[in-house]
Amino acid sequence: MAILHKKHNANAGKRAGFLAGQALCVLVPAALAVWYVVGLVQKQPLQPVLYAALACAAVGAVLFRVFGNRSEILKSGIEGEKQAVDALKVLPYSYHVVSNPVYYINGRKAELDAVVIGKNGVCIVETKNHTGVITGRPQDEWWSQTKRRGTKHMKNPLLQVERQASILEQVLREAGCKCPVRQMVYFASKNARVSVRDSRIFVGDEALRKAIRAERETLSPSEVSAIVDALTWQKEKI
Amino acid sequence: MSITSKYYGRTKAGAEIYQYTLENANGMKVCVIEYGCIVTNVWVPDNGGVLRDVVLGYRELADYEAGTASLGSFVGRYANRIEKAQFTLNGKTYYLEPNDGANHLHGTFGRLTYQGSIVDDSLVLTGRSPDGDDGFPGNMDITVTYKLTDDNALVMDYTAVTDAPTIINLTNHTYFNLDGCDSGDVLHQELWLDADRFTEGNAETCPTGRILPVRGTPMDFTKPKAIGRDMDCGDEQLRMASGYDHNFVLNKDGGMLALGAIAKSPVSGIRMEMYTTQPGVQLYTGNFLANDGVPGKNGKPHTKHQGFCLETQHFPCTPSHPEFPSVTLAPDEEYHETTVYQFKTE
Repeated sequence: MAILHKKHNANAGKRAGFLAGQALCVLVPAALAVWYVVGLVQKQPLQPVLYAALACAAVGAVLFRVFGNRSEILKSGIEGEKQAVDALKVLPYSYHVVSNPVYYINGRKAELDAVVIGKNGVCIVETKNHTGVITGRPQDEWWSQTKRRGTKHMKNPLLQVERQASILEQVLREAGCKCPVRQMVYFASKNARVSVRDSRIFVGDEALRKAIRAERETLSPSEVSAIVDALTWQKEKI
Repeated sequence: MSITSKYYGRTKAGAEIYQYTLENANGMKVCVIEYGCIVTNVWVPDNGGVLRDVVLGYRELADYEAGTASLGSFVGRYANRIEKAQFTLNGKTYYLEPNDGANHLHGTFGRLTYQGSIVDDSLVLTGRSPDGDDGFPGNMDITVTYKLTDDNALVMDYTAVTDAPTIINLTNHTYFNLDGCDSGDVLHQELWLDADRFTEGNAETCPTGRILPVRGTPMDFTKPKAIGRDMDCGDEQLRMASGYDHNFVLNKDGGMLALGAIAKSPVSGIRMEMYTTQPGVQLYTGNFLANDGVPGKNGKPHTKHQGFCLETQHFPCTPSHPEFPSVTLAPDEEYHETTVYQFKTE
């Protein structure tokens, strides 16, 4: 089993925010409605409260749906990232897996899903839990995702992982570590039909682990240790 | 050439199924679903330029799951029959599911769910048949590739690998009707087969082991003739099978992709050429289509002889006839066969 360095998942916090927002969408109009009903029972109905309750209910219904959708997307992402960690922690003991690290350098920020550190270098694993038929070209900014409800666009994760790799390379340079950074995009869902051909894309767990282990081992244990320190203890530098 | 996809439905087992449409510069379109790698539609221009859907099919996924006629389906592990539903390989006897009387027919590949992906200008479908599936040994990884070229050729390419010695025979069970899928029977449509011999069948259409010349028999398609011309001549072979359901031995060197058949319709002017790497072709004239019980694309039941199949294959019941071309697959080998259906007009 690889050594796991678990960081706080920022998406979990964001999702909690959306769930709280959904709760407010229900509670605020409900509280106003109760206020109005109490006034009605006391034969002192407050018309403005009724109008406010109705307005809040209308806005709340829209927001409830928006927050719900966002929350579901984040939930799916979190599940995918968990699946990626489960796939990566089966790597041999000599590997370190850092989940959900955040790096800052020269005003740039990178929120990564997972970084794998081994004697054969550093791999960034960007996880996508998308389903359906995914088409596009490696150089396109947007890809298509066809699902039951039709086709929509998704950001090209290869461009995302390229940007992350450039930030991570800077972080390593700054820490005095020299090693290659490899980029990988892992589709966690069995229902993903990925039709984009690129050697950085992986659909199965085994293929991902095999690719991580495929590169020749060139780093010494002390070099690995220095990289692990640099990538697990980096302080905010903005 | 373009390939588009859309959601097609969900199987009873809960798997999401997508449909892919391959379209070429001439407007020819081929639709394929991930369930059974089934070819659901083949739209071909006739001699007036009007597109006709020349393959039989159903209206929706549930019908493909319920249907028993293997319409448009990819077929394996062993296309066609295995006598007494058993075979012996390396001294061990394997017992299969008897699903056609006492025999084993076709297997489950046509009911598996595959995962599609678009690779360049091809549709690639991958699936796995586990060790013991239907009684066959070895985990088998299967790749089915469909490609539509700009000269109206639908290329079907099958590869498979196994982790234990096994047997394999893959084909596609599309029923063609060159006048359109709901235009009546195919008995007037003409067929030429590059086959001087056929494997004689018994009452259960399993080969007796005798390979007979077609010359002078109703099996002779070496000169083009209407499929139904000799159907009712009283020939014992045709009577037993209620029509054609026979394996023809193609006149070609094994393994070479070569022209094996030409079918054409005098009504639509559509001509279909079939090329294959396989040694045989099963001509099946939809003798039991009316028994299927599931309505076709137009909502009406299929009728006898509404379509014909040219199932390219190794010979049926080969395990019982070691003199036939081998169907064994070892773990260090890759199975690879190709069949092409090319459409033209006259």
